[in-house]
Amino acid sequence: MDAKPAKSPLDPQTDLANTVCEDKPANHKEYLSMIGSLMYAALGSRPDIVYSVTALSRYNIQPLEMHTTAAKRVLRYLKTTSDFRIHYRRLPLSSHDTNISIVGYTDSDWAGNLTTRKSVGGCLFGLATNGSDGPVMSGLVHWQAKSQSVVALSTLEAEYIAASHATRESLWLKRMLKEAADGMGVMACNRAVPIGCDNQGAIKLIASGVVR
Amino acid sequence: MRQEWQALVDNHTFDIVAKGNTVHTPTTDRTVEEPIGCKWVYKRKINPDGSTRYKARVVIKGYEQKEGIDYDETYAPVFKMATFRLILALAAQYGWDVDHMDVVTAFLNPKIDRDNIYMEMPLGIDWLVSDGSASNRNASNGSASDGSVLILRKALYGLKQAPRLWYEDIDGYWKFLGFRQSAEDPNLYLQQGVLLVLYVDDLLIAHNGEEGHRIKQLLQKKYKMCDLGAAKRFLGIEIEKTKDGGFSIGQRGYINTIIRRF
Repeated sequence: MDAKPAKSPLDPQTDLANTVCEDKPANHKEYLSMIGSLMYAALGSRPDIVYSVTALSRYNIQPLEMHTTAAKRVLRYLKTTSDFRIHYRRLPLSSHDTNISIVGYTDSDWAGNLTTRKSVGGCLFGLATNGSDGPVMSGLVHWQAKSQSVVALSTLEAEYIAASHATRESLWLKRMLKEAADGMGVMACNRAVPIGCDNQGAIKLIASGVVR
Repeated sequence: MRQEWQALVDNHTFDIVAKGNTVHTPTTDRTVEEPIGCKWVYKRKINPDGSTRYKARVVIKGYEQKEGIDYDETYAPVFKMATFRLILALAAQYGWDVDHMDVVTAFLNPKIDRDNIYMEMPLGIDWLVSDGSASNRNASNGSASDGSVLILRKALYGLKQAPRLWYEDIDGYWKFLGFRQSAEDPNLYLQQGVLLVLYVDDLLIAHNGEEGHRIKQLLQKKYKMCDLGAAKRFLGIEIEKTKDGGFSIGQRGYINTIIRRF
Protein backbone atom coordinates (compact mmCIF):
# COMPACT_ATOMS: atom_id res chain seq x y z
CA MET A 1 0.00 0.00 0.00
CA ASP A 2 1.51 3.23 -1.14
CA ALA A 3 -0.18 5.23 1.54
CA LYS A 4 -0.31 8.73 2.89
CA PRO A 5 0.75 8.89 6.51
CA ALA A 6 -1.98 9.18 9.13
CA LYS A 7 -1.31 10.55 12.58
CA SER A 8 -4.34 9.06 14.27
CA PRO A 9 -6.18 5.80 13.70
CA LEU A 10 -9.66 7.29 13.23
CA ASP A 11 -10.94 10.55 11.79
CA PRO A 12 -13.07 12.22 14.48
CA GLN A 13 -15.18 13.86 11.74
CA THR A 14 -16.43 10.55 10.36
CA ASP A 15 -19.68 9.23 11.74
CA LEU A 16 -19.30 5.50 11.23
CA ALA A 17 -22.85 4.86 12.43
CA ASN A 18 -24.41 7.07 9.79
CA THR A 19 -26.25 4.36 7.90
CA VAL A 20 -28.80 6.67 6.28
CA CYS A 21 -26.20 8.15 3.99
CA GLU A 22 -26.11 6.81 0.47
CA ASP A 23 -22.92 4.88 0.47
CA LYS A 24 -22.07 1.84 -1.58
CA PRO A 25 -21.59 -1.45 0.24
CA ALA A 26 -17.97 -2.39 0.77
CA ASN A 27 -16.21 -5.45 -0.57
CA HIS A 28 -17.33 -7.61 2.32
CA LYS A 29 -14.63 -10.23 2.20
CA GLU A 30 -11.87 -7.67 1.98
CA TYR A 31 -13.35 -5.70 4.86
CA LEU A 32 -13.58 -8.72 7.17
CA SER A 33 -10.08 -9.76 6.35
CA MET A 34 -8.83 -6.23 7.00
CA ILE A 35 -10.56 -6.05 10.39
CA GLY A 36 -9.23 -9.50 11.29
CA SER A 37 -5.69 -8.44 10.47
CA LEU A 38 -6.02 -5.19 12.39
CA MET A 39 -7.51 -7.05 15.34
CA TYR A 40 -4.44 -9.24 15.64
CA ALA A 41 -2.22 -6.16 15.83
CA ALA A 42 -4.59 -4.59 18.36
CA LEU A 43 -4.49 -7.69 20.55
CA GLY A 44 -0.76 -8.25 20.18
CA SER A 45 1.05 -5.02 20.91
CA ARG A 46 -1.09 -2.08 19.80
CA PRO A 47 -3.52 -0.87 22.44
CA ASP A 48 -3.62 2.45 20.58
CA ILE A 49 -5.79 0.99 17.83
CA VAL A 50 -8.07 -1.14 19.97
CA TYR A 51 -10.77 1.49 20.17
CA SER A 52 -10.79 2.04 16.40
CA VAL A 53 -10.76 -1.64 15.54
CA THR A 54 -13.58 -2.44 17.96
CA ALA A 55 -15.55 0.48 16.55
CA LEU A 56 -15.03 -0.73 12.99
CA SER A 57 -15.78 -4.36 13.78
CA ARG A 58 -19.31 -3.32 14.65
CA TYR A 59 -19.93 -3.01 10.90
CA ASN A 60 -18.67 -6.47 10.04
CA ILE A 61 -22.16 -7.56 8.99
CA GLN A 62 -22.88 -4.80 6.50
CA PRO A 63 -19.83 -2.67 5.87
CA LEU A 64 -20.07 0.41 3.66
CA GLU A 65 -17.34 2.02 1.66
CA MET A 66 -16.76 4.62 4.35
CA HIS A 67 -15.90 1.81 6.76
CA THR A 68 -13.33 0.44 4.35
CA THR A 69 -11.90 3.95 4.05
CA ALA A 70 -11.75 4.21 7.83
CA ALA A 71 -10.11 0.79 8.15
CA LYS A 72 -7.53 1.83 5.57
CA ARG A 73 -6.82 4.89 7.65
CA VAL A 74 -6.02 2.63 10.62
CA LEU A 75 -3.61 0.79 8.31
CA ARG A 76 -2.03 4.08 7.24
CA TYR A 77 -1.69 5.02 10.91
CA LEU A 78 0.00 1.68 11.59
CA LYS A 79 2.35 2.29 8.71
CA THR A 80 3.34 5.66 10.16
CA THR A 81 3.82 4.16 13.60
CA SER A 82 5.02 0.63 12.83
CA ASP A 83 7.99 1.17 15.13
CA PHE A 84 5.81 1.65 18.21
CA ARG A 85 6.70 -0.87 20.85
CA ILE A 86 5.69 -1.73 24.36
CA HIS A 87 8.61 -1.55 26.70
CA TYR A 88 8.81 -3.65 29.84
CA ARG A 89 11.47 -2.28 32.11
CA ARG A 90 12.68 -3.04 35.58
CA LEU A 91 10.75 -0.93 38.03
CA PRO A 92 12.73 0.69 40.82
CA LEU A 93 11.81 -0.79 44.18
CA SER A 94 12.28 1.79 46.88
CA SER A 95 11.54 2.53 50.48
CA HIS A 96 8.08 3.65 49.33
CA ASP A 97 7.32 0.22 48.02
CA THR A 98 9.23 -3.01 48.02
CA ASN A 99 6.65 -4.85 46.00
CA ILE A 100 5.31 -4.83 42.51
CA SER A 101 1.61 -5.03 41.82
CA ILE A 102 -0.89 -4.22 39.14
CA VAL A 103 -2.32 -0.80 38.38
CA GLY A 104 -5.12 -0.03 35.98
CA TYR A 105 -6.87 2.89 34.34
CA THR A 106 -10.27 3.18 32.77
CA ASP A 107 -12.18 5.64 30.64
CA SER A 108 -15.21 5.79 28.42
CA ASP A 109 -16.60 7.83 25.58
CA TRP A 110 -20.08 8.72 26.58
CA ALA A 111 -22.59 7.91 23.82
CA GLY A 112 -19.77 7.61 21.31
CA ASN A 113 -22.13 5.82 18.96
CA LEU A 114 -24.45 8.61 17.89
CA THR A 115 -27.14 6.28 16.57
CA THR A 116 -27.51 3.82 19.42
CA ARG A 117 -26.23 6.22 22.12
CA LYS A 118 -24.12 3.40 23.46
CA SER A 119 -20.77 4.10 25.08
CA VAL A 120 -17.48 2.32 24.77
CA GLY A 121 -15.57 1.62 27.94
CA GLY A 122 -11.91 0.79 28.03
CA CYS A 123 -9.32 -0.28 30.53
CA LEU A 124 -5.62 -0.92 30.62
CA PHE A 125 -3.29 -2.56 33.10
CA GLY A 126 0.38 -2.93 33.76
CA LEU A 127 2.85 -3.81 36.47
CA ALA A 128 3.63 -0.94 38.76
CA THR A 129 5.23 0.04 42.00
CA ASN A 130 4.55 2.98 44.26
CA GLY A 131 6.95 5.86 43.83
CA SER A 132 7.09 9.06 45.83
CA ASP A 133 4.38 10.63 43.68
CA GLY A 134 2.07 7.81 42.85
CA PRO A 135 2.42 4.62 40.86
CA VAL A 136 5.34 4.07 38.48
CA MET A 137 4.22 1.84 35.67
CA SER A 138 5.96 -0.64 33.40
CA GLY A 139 4.67 -1.57 29.92
CA LEU A 140 1.01 -2.43 29.42
CA VAL A 141 0.11 -6.04 29.98
CA HIS A 142 -3.60 -6.06 29.30
CA TRP A 143 -6.09 -3.74 27.61
CA GLN A 144 -9.60 -3.80 26.31
CA ALA A 145 -12.23 -1.62 24.67
CA LYS A 146 -15.80 -2.81 24.82
CA SER A 147 -19.11 -1.44 23.68
CA GLN A 148 -21.27 -1.29 26.78
CA SER A 149 -24.45 -3.30 26.64
CA VAL A 150 -26.48 -0.79 28.65
CA VAL A 151 -27.13 2.76 27.47
CA ALA A 152 -25.47 5.08 29.95
CA LEU A 153 -27.41 8.28 30.59
CA SER A 154 -24.50 10.33 31.81
CA THR A 155 -20.72 10.30 31.76
CA LEU A 156 -20.92 9.17 35.37
CA GLU A 157 -22.88 6.07 34.41
CA ALA A 158 -20.63 5.28 31.48
CA GLU A 159 -17.49 5.61 33.60
CA TYR A 160 -19.02 3.59 36.39
CA ILE A 161 -19.79 0.72 34.04
CA ALA A 162 -16.27 0.90 32.60
CA ALA A 163 -14.75 0.87 36.09
CA SER A 164 -16.86 -2.10 37.08
CA HIS A 165 -15.68 -4.00 34.04
CA ALA A 166 -12.08 -3.03 34.75
CA THR A 167 -12.42 -4.30 38.29
CA ARG A 168 -13.40 -7.74 37.06
CA GLU A 169 -10.46 -7.82 34.66
CA SER A 170 -8.13 -6.69 37.43
CA LEU A 171 -9.14 -9.57 39.68
CA TRP A 172 -8.12 -12.02 37.01
CA LEU A 173 -4.77 -10.29 36.48
CA LYS A 174 -4.12 -10.06 40.17
CA ARG A 175 -4.64 -13.79 40.66
CA MET A 176 -2.44 -14.49 37.70
CA LEU A 177 0.36 -12.28 39.03
CA LYS A 178 0.14 -13.97 42.40
CA GLU A 179 0.28 -17.40 40.84
CA ALA A 180 3.27 -16.60 38.62
CA ALA A 181 5.18 -14.82 41.37
CA ASP A 182 4.61 -17.65 43.85
CA GLY A 183 5.80 -20.17 41.31
CA MET A 184 9.01 -18.25 40.74
CA GLY A 185 9.55 -17.51 44.40
CA VAL A 186 9.41 -13.74 44.09
CA MET A 187 7.35 -11.29 46.07
CA ALA A 188 4.27 -9.87 44.46
CA CYS A 189 1.78 -7.82 46.23
CA ASN A 190 -1.64 -9.21 46.73
CA ARG A 191 -3.12 -5.83 47.51
CA ALA A 192 -6.17 -4.39 45.83
CA VAL A 193 -5.53 -3.12 42.33
CA PRO A 194 -5.83 0.67 42.17
CA ILE A 195 -7.83 1.71 39.13
CA GLY A 196 -7.57 5.26 37.85
CA CYS A 197 -10.76 6.94 36.70
CA ASP A 198 -11.19 10.56 35.61
CA ASN A 199 -14.79 11.10 36.58
CA GLN A 200 -15.27 12.61 40.03
CA GLY A 201 -18.91 11.57 40.18
CA ALA A 202 -18.11 7.96 39.40
CA ILE A 203 -15.26 7.92 41.92
CA LYS A 204 -17.56 9.25 44.64
CA LEU A 205 -20.23 6.74 43.73
CA ILE A 206 -17.79 3.83 43.89
CA ALA A 207 -16.24 5.08 47.13
CA SER A 208 -19.59 5.67 48.78
CA GLY A 209 -20.37 2.00 48.68
CA VAL A 210 -24.04 2.82 48.15
CA VAL A 211 -24.17 0.90 44.91
CA ARG A 212 -22.17 -2.29 44.73
CA MET B 1 8.10 -35.48 -0.17
CA ARG B 2 10.29 -38.46 0.44
CA GLN B 3 11.42 -36.99 3.71
CA GLU B 4 7.84 -36.50 4.83
CA TRP B 5 6.81 -40.02 3.83
CA GLN B 6 9.83 -41.50 5.56
CA ALA B 7 9.05 -39.51 8.70
CA LEU B 8 5.51 -40.85 8.72
CA VAL B 9 6.72 -44.40 8.27
CA ASP B 10 9.40 -44.05 10.95
CA ASN B 11 6.89 -42.51 13.29
CA HIS B 12 4.51 -45.45 12.82
CA THR B 13 1.71 -43.05 11.93
CA PHE B 14 -0.21 -45.80 10.15
CA ASP B 15 -0.37 -49.41 9.12
CA ILE B 16 -1.21 -50.58 5.66
CA VAL B 17 -4.40 -52.49 5.15
CA ALA B 18 -5.16 -54.17 1.86
CA LYS B 19 -8.51 -53.21 0.49
CA GLY B 20 -11.30 -55.69 1.07
CA ASN B 21 -9.50 -57.07 4.07
CA THR B 22 -12.10 -55.68 6.45
CA VAL B 23 -10.98 -55.26 10.00
CA HIS B 24 -13.85 -55.86 12.37
CA THR B 25 -14.55 -52.72 14.35
CA PRO B 26 -17.86 -52.99 16.16
CA THR B 27 -17.96 -49.35 17.22
CA THR B 28 -18.17 -47.93 13.77
CA ASP B 29 -19.82 -48.06 10.45
CA ARG B 30 -16.82 -46.68 8.64
CA THR B 31 -14.99 -49.37 6.79
CA VAL B 32 -11.95 -49.88 4.75
CA GLU B 33 -14.16 -49.37 1.73
CA GLU B 34 -14.58 -45.65 2.32
CA PRO B 35 -11.31 -44.20 3.49
CA ILE B 36 -10.90 -40.51 4.19
CA GLY B 37 -9.07 -38.63 1.50
CA CYS B 38 -5.74 -36.99 1.92
CA LYS B 39 -3.51 -34.74 -0.10
CA TRP B 40 -0.08 -33.21 -0.24
CA VAL B 41 0.39 -29.66 0.84
CA TYR B 42 3.47 -27.83 -0.32
CA LYS B 43 4.97 -24.82 1.33
CA ARG B 44 7.84 -22.55 0.56
CA LYS B 45 9.63 -21.47 3.69
CA ILE B 46 12.24 -18.80 4.06
CA ASN B 47 15.05 -19.69 6.43
CA PRO B 48 16.39 -17.05 8.80
CA ASP B 49 19.53 -16.90 6.60
CA GLY B 50 17.43 -15.93 3.58
CA SER B 51 17.59 -19.19 1.67
CA THR B 52 14.38 -20.94 0.69
CA ARG B 53 13.39 -24.46 1.43
CA TYR B 54 10.45 -26.48 0.20
CA LYS B 55 8.33 -28.54 2.47
CA ALA B 56 5.78 -31.22 1.70
CA ARG B 57 3.27 -32.51 4.17
CA VAL B 58 0.59 -35.15 3.98
CA VAL B 59 -2.69 -33.83 5.38
CA ILE B 60 -5.87 -35.73 5.91
CA LYS B 61 -9.10 -34.18 4.67
CA GLY B 62 -10.58 -33.56 8.09
CA TYR B 63 -13.79 -32.23 6.59
CA GLU B 64 -14.64 -35.74 5.44
CA GLN B 65 -14.65 -36.95 9.02
CA LYS B 66 -17.96 -37.67 10.72
CA GLU B 67 -18.60 -36.60 14.27
CA GLY B 68 -19.13 -39.48 16.69
CA ILE B 69 -17.48 -41.89 14.31
CA ASP B 70 -14.18 -40.35 13.47
CA TYR B 71 -13.91 -37.90 16.32
CA ASP B 72 -15.60 -36.64 19.49
CA GLU B 73 -13.68 -33.93 21.28
CA THR B 74 -11.91 -31.32 19.22
CA TYR B 75 -11.62 -28.46 21.67
CA ALA B 76 -8.11 -27.42 22.58
CA PRO B 77 -7.52 -24.29 24.64
CA VAL B 78 -5.40 -21.44 23.38
CA PHE B 79 -3.79 -19.00 25.71
CA LYS B 80 -4.46 -15.35 26.33
CA MET B 81 -2.11 -12.69 25.00
CA ALA B 82 -2.16 -11.00 28.40
CA THR B 83 -0.49 -14.05 29.94
CA PHE B 84 2.37 -13.81 27.48
CA ARG B 85 2.84 -10.10 28.19
CA LEU B 86 2.57 -10.48 31.95
CA ILE B 87 5.37 -13.03 31.83
CA LEU B 88 7.58 -10.70 29.79
CA ALA B 89 6.88 -7.85 32.19
CA LEU B 90 7.80 -10.06 35.15
CA ALA B 91 10.88 -11.37 33.39
CA ALA B 92 12.00 -7.77 32.82
CA GLN B 93 11.43 -7.02 36.48
CA TYR B 94 13.31 -10.01 37.88
CA GLY B 95 15.87 -10.61 35.16
CA TRP B 96 14.62 -14.03 34.07
CA ASP B 97 15.56 -15.59 30.78
CA VAL B 98 12.77 -16.10 28.30
CA ASP B 99 13.48 -18.89 25.84
CA HIS B 100 11.56 -20.18 22.89
CA MET B 101 11.29 -23.79 21.80
CA ASP B 102 9.18 -25.45 19.20
CA VAL B 103 8.09 -29.01 18.81
CA VAL B 104 8.88 -30.51 15.43
CA THR B 105 5.77 -32.01 13.78
CA ALA B 106 3.86 -31.77 17.03
CA PHE B 107 0.63 -33.25 15.76
CA LEU B 108 2.32 -36.46 14.70
CA ASN B 109 3.23 -37.30 18.28
CA PRO B 110 0.02 -38.34 20.00
CA LYS B 111 -1.43 -41.81 19.56
CA ILE B 112 -4.86 -41.72 18.07
CA ASP B 113 -7.91 -42.17 20.28
CA ARG B 114 -9.60 -44.85 18.14
CA ASP B 115 -8.69 -47.56 15.72
CA ASN B 116 -11.05 -47.02 12.84
CA ILE B 117 -9.68 -44.12 10.86
CA TYR B 118 -8.80 -45.21 7.39
CA MET B 119 -7.08 -42.95 4.95
CA GLU B 120 -6.38 -43.19 1.24
CA MET B 121 -2.87 -43.85 0.13
CA PRO B 122 -1.31 -40.47 -0.68
CA LEU B 123 -0.70 -39.86 -4.38
CA GLY B 124 2.65 -40.72 -5.81
CA ILE B 125 3.70 -43.21 -3.19
CA ASP B 126 4.28 -45.87 -5.85
CA TRP B 127 6.70 -43.57 -7.52
CA LEU B 128 8.42 -42.58 -4.28
CA VAL B 129 8.82 -46.17 -3.21
CA SER B 130 9.82 -47.61 -6.56
CA ASP B 131 12.49 -44.97 -6.79
CA GLY B 132 14.25 -47.12 -4.28
CA SER B 133 15.93 -44.71 -1.95
CA ALA B 134 12.99 -44.45 0.42
CA SER B 135 13.46 -47.66 2.30
CA ASN B 136 9.97 -48.64 3.17
CA ARG B 137 9.81 -51.28 5.79
CA ASN B 138 6.19 -50.74 6.44
CA ALA B 139 4.75 -49.84 3.10
CA SER B 140 6.70 -52.25 0.97
CA ASN B 141 3.74 -54.49 0.39
CA GLY B 142 1.13 -51.83 -0.12
CA SER B 143 0.64 -49.27 -2.79
CA ALA B 144 -2.07 -47.04 -4.18
CA SER B 145 -2.48 -49.10 -7.32
CA ASP B 146 -3.34 -52.33 -5.54
CA GLY B 147 -6.02 -50.58 -3.55
CA SER B 148 -4.40 -50.59 -0.15
CA VAL B 149 -5.49 -48.02 2.40
CA LEU B 150 -3.89 -46.79 5.58
CA ILE B 151 -5.19 -47.19 9.09
CA LEU B 152 -4.05 -44.36 11.30
CA ARG B 153 -2.25 -45.07 14.55
CA LYS B 154 -1.12 -41.57 15.34
CA ALA B 155 -2.54 -38.14 14.65
CA LEU B 156 -1.97 -36.42 11.35
CA TYR B 157 -2.19 -32.81 10.26
CA GLY B 158 -5.71 -31.99 9.17
CA LEU B 159 -7.32 -34.51 11.46
CA LYS B 160 -10.10 -32.80 13.36
CA GLN B 161 -9.00 -34.01 16.75
CA ALA B 162 -5.27 -33.55 16.14
CA PRO B 163 -4.90 -30.33 18.15
CA ARG B 164 -6.87 -31.84 20.99
CA LEU B 165 -4.86 -35.07 21.02
CA TRP B 166 -1.64 -33.11 20.96
CA TYR B 167 -2.80 -30.91 23.81
CA GLU B 168 -3.71 -33.95 25.93
CA ASP B 169 -0.38 -35.53 25.13
CA ILE B 170 1.77 -32.60 26.16
CA ASP B 171 -0.48 -31.63 29.05
CA GLY B 172 0.03 -35.12 30.45
CA TYR B 173 3.78 -34.75 30.12
CA TRP B 174 3.86 -31.40 31.94
CA LYS B 175 1.96 -32.93 34.81
CA PHE B 176 4.28 -35.92 34.82
CA LEU B 177 7.21 -33.49 35.12
CA GLY B 178 5.55 -31.92 38.14
CA PHE B 179 4.12 -28.80 36.57
CA ARG B 180 0.95 -27.28 37.91
CA GLN B 181 -1.55 -25.89 35.44
CA SER B 182 -2.61 -22.34 36.09
CA ALA B 183 -6.20 -21.84 37.14
CA GLU B 184 -6.34 -18.53 35.27
CA ASP B 185 -4.99 -19.65 31.93
CA PRO B 186 -4.93 -23.35 31.04
CA ASN B 187 -1.90 -22.85 28.82
CA LEU B 188 0.30 -21.57 31.59
CA TYR B 189 2.19 -24.17 33.59
CA LEU B 190 4.18 -23.49 36.71
CA GLN B 191 6.93 -25.15 38.65
CA GLN B 192 9.44 -23.82 41.12
CA GLY B 193 11.64 -21.54 39.04
CA VAL B 194 10.00 -22.18 35.67
CA LEU B 195 7.00 -20.65 33.91
CA LEU B 196 5.88 -22.25 30.73
CA VAL B 197 3.46 -20.93 28.12
CA LEU B 198 2.21 -23.31 25.48
CA TYR B 199 0.80 -22.24 22.15
CA VAL B 200 0.08 -25.40 20.18
CA ASP B 201 3.65 -26.37 19.29
CA ASP B 202 5.38 -23.21 20.45
CA LEU B 203 6.74 -22.99 23.96
CA LEU B 204 7.84 -19.98 25.88
CA ILE B 205 9.93 -20.79 28.93
CA ALA B 206 10.67 -18.16 31.54
CA HIS B 207 13.22 -19.32 34.07
CA ASN B 208 15.94 -18.13 36.35
CA GLY B 209 18.77 -20.40 35.26
CA GLU B 210 19.52 -24.00 36.24
CA GLU B 211 16.02 -25.33 36.51
CA GLY B 212 15.10 -24.07 33.05
CA HIS B 213 17.94 -25.98 31.43
CA ARG B 214 16.95 -29.15 33.21
CA ILE B 215 13.37 -28.84 31.94
CA LYS B 216 14.59 -28.19 28.42
CA GLN B 217 16.64 -31.37 28.49
CA LEU B 218 13.72 -33.40 29.79
CA LEU B 219 11.55 -32.01 26.99
CA GLN B 220 14.05 -32.91 24.34
CA LYS B 221 14.07 -36.48 25.60
CA LYS B 222 10.35 -36.83 25.03
CA TYR B 223 9.77 -34.82 21.86
CA LYS B 224 11.76 -33.80 18.86
CA MET B 225 12.29 -30.16 19.75
CA CYS B 226 13.99 -27.16 18.29
CA ASP B 227 15.64 -24.91 20.88
CA LEU B 228 15.46 -21.40 19.46
CA GLY B 229 17.31 -19.81 22.36
CA ALA B 230 16.21 -16.44 23.72
CA ALA B 231 12.75 -15.66 22.38
CA LYS B 232 12.85 -13.27 19.43
CA ARG B 233 9.51 -13.87 17.83
CA PHE B 234 6.45 -15.49 19.31
CA LEU B 235 3.19 -15.65 17.33
CA GLY B 236 4.39 -12.92 15.03
CA ILE B 237 5.23 -10.61 17.90
CA GLU B 238 8.80 -9.43 17.89
CA ILE B 239 10.58 -9.52 21.22
CA GLU B 240 13.73 -7.54 21.84
CA LYS B 241 15.97 -7.36 24.79
CA THR B 242 16.50 -3.73 25.73
CA LYS B 243 19.69 -2.11 26.99
CA ASP B 244 18.32 -1.71 30.49
CA GLY B 245 17.72 -5.46 30.78
CA GLY B 246 14.03 -5.26 30.00
CA PHE B 247 12.04 -6.41 26.98
CA SER B 248 10.11 -4.64 24.30
CA ILE B 249 7.50 -6.05 21.97
CA GLY B 250 6.26 -4.81 18.62
CA GLN B 251 4.76 -6.07 15.37
CA ARG B 252 6.59 -4.20 12.66
CA GLY B 253 6.99 -7.27 10.48
CA TYR B 254 3.34 -8.18 10.79
CA ILE B 255 2.20 -4.62 10.12
CA ASN B 256 4.30 -4.45 6.96
CA THR B 257 2.77 -7.72 5.79
CA ILE B 258 -0.81 -6.55 6.23
CA ILE B 259 -0.06 -3.19 4.65
CA ARG B 260 1.26 -4.97 1.58
CA ARG B 261 -1.82 -7.15 1.47
CA PHE B 262 -4.37 -4.32 1.38
